[in-house]
Amino acid sequence: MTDKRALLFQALQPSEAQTLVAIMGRIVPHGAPELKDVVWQTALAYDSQLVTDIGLRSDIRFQLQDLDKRSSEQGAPSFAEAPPNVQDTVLQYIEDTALFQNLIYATVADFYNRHTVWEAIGFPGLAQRDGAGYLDKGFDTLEWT
Amino acid sequence: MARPAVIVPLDEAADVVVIGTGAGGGNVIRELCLAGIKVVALEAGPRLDADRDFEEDEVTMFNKLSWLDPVIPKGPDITGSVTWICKSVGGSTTHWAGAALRLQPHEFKARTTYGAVPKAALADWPIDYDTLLPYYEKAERMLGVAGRVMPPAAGNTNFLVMKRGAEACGLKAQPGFMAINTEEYDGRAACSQRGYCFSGCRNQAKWSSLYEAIPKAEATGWLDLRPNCQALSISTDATGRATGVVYADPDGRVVEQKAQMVVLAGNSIQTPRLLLNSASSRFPAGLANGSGVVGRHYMRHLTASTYAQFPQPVHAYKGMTMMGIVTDFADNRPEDRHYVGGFHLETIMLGPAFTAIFVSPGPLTSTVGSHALWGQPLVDLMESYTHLAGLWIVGEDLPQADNRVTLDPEQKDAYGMPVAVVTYSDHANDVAMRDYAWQQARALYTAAGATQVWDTPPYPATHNLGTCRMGSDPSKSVVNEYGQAHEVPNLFIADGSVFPTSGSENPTLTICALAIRQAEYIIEQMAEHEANGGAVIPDGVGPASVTGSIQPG
Repeated sequence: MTDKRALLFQALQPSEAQTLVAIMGRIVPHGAPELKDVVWQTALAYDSQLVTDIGLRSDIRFQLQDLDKRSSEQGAPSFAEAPPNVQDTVLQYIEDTALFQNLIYATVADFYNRHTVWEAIGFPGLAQRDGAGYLDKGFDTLEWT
Repeated sequence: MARPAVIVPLDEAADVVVIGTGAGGGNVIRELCLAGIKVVALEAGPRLDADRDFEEDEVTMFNKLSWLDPVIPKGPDITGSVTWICKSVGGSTTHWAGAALRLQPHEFKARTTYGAVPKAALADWPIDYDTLLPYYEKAERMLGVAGRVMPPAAGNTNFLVMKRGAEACGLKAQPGFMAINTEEYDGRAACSQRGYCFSGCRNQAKWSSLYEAIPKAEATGWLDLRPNCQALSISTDATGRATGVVYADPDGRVVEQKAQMVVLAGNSIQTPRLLLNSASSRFPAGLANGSGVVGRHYMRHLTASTYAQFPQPVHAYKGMTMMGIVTDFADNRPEDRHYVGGFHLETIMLGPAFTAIFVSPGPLTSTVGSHALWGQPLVDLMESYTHLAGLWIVGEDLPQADNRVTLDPEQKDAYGMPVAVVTYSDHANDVAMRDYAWQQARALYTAAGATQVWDTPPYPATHNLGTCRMGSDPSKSVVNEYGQAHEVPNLFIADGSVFPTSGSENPTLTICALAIRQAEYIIEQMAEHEANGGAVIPDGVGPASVTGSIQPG
């Protein structure tokens, strides 16, 4: 069953989009439901790069197919539908490839710079956009030291 | 009220063309313009406005400020992304942390102090600490260094954790000398403890030539500043003197600005790249490279970091990023530590995205074969983001002749200029120092109560040094003690590439002090030239005498 959000992808086909989201979900496997939604945003941002980067699009497409194949060897219908432990096992096969290392970089650079994630991990960066600083906001106090 | 800026026609020889507007270029430009010298400044990057363009978003600011043109990494210990330096007016003084330390006296005499170290090309500086001291003091006044010309920085929460651990280990953590205003100074505001030091200081409390040296130079009317102009080569005449700079203008047209004198301050990768790209029949190995050492002895400091997770919140991202320092390991004690030279521990913290990228980095930003953190270990790190403390290890790396900058024979940039290849491998001394430093930092954070500690490998280099070393022997160095090229008397170098050895201190203050001293020398030489009615300018080792003096070996 295709998640409707997969239709938002422009470079990748819906089934490929779901595989990409599943991979990114294992790179940043936070439990909070709102962070699972952010993974879709990060995947969409990556997809927008693939619109013009034809070489990378081709490499990624090949990798996504490869992961589906490896997942089926593990008895799962596809990578996206495989249980998390199987997904991790499959990803460990490709962990050292340049493509996967690049994908980790692209995922974390986008995901952890998103405001929803800042809020979830307690980083008040969004409140700092006025440039006023932490001068009277506890920059020099630590109760436990 | 400021005078209108001079506009120098391309075919009129500017008194001085300065290439680069960072720590070195900015200080030279300020000093020359205040002395009434007509300067054309070429800056490869754009001019940003601190208040309008600096944002509280480290990824956006990295993309706005950084030198992102291709550089090819080579060697086992080079990072996949080679440098973290800037391409904008102000150069890397927009991104620097503000740590404004003087080198220690013995570090000017590395060869004498450390002796002969196998595989290291150690050298003494041609000047000593006492010679540079008055220029350090002037630089500290110009930059506004807290702890020197104003009260020291207040400790942030990251520092309080460092201090707790240091005290438990019998070490001393203290506020370092920082070129960040702790009170209003020189018309610039006091620090608001905003945190985003690496992303550009919006309220201009952290010194940058962007909003100190450059505006002061502009106010004289003698500066013709040209952003978005990338220098491509330096032209010379039949006598071997520099006559102009060929550059790509903002519209991509290749033009040449004539010059009576050229000051090159493009940092330790772009400066040798430009010299090597300026080869001619007279200078077949590259301009000012009769010695063959242009591009060699590339140093990037011995660096690493340590991050630690605590049971209680730290919020280490608050306040002045690099204000805290431990100097207990900065001395040279090879008998106890089994390596030469020293290092410092300095507080550091990154935003969420760069924490995820750099605490346990992959080959894209770190060395070949490293593995980026992903999955549950990454989640464990990031969900404890507010409970992290961090410190940076910065120490002396040893110069090696084969650590170097060369030109790629094939790959060229958008203007047809060969791309720089940067080759680096650690010296055994560097490896020993880094391992020792990680151990000490781990012990410090464990004593402070850390539940988990990460040994973090080097980031892309911010301290790029050594590729045009200064010295008194023209066969072994590129420039003299004033940064004047041995072979081209009207060519000067004003950036970290002139360092013969790296010292263990953040290099910016030393670059600034050397630049101020160089500018004073140029001003004196020009005055002398004028008094002599236009004889050889400036005095120094001319091309004729060099031709006879350079011998191999």
